[in-house]
Amino acid sequence: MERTLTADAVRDRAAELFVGLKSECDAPNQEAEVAKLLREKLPGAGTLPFIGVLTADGKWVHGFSGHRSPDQFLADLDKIDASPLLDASPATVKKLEKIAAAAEKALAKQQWSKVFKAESAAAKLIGRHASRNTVSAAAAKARGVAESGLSKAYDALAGGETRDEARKTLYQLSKAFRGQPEGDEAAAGIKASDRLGRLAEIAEEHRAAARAKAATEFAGTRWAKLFTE
Amino acid sequence: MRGMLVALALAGMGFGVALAGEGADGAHPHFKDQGVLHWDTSLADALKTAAKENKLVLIEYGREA
Repeated sequence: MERTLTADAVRDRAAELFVGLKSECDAPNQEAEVAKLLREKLPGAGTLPFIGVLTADGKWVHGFSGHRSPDQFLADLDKIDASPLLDASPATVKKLEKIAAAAEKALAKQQWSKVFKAESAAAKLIGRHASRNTVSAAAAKARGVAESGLSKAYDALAGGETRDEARKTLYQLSKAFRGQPEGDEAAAGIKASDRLGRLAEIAEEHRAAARAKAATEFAGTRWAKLFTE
Repeated sequence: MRGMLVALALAGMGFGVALAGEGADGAHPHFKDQGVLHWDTSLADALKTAAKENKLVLIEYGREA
């Protein structure tokens, strides 16, 4: 599948649709379940590889054996995309709609942790439905708010403005986005702000070494740059 | 020899036969798909990943070249 999957026309659609399962037909520990499923669903297939597509709850969607050119594979993707098996069940739709409503409500009230809770709940359900877009949009807006606050705090610290306001923003973000990467980034920002304050009190001759040490400690966060620029 | 013949046969059918690492970090165990897909090597893991990412599982059942 290497050439087919990496073809320009295929790669983005495939990446959006699938995770891969590589199963070795000759491996001693090869899963019997996979071989059995493919034999059942592709009777008479003789040319490797055998390709099967399953929903995340294990329902067979589509399959074929042997090579597919990118164009042929795109036709397969169209069939897969059109399968009703990809849609959420009526029971799941109800749940997704409830979750989407909760996400919208939380967004309106700026209750970010509830927005992420909704995102996490939707991710545990299987199947497509428009309600997912509502949940994703709410989570994206929440992340946008966090990013905006983090950027503002960074600019204030980098610009040498008073640290109090930046620290306050970061504290609020760390609380509101606890458990999310943005919350961790805000918590690191508070520490970076404190470190900047201590650096100012260090004797001039030791300051460069202390800045370098701080840059290392904050590596992987946006705050590292505060100590290198 | 048999491996080489299979490799040539697969290459002839348009399938790459590069030998990559053994599924490290979700890479395909045998070929380089340039990170297009995350690959698992057990059905249970693949279904779990698919559920988490709201995707489908693409099974590739074949033979290492």
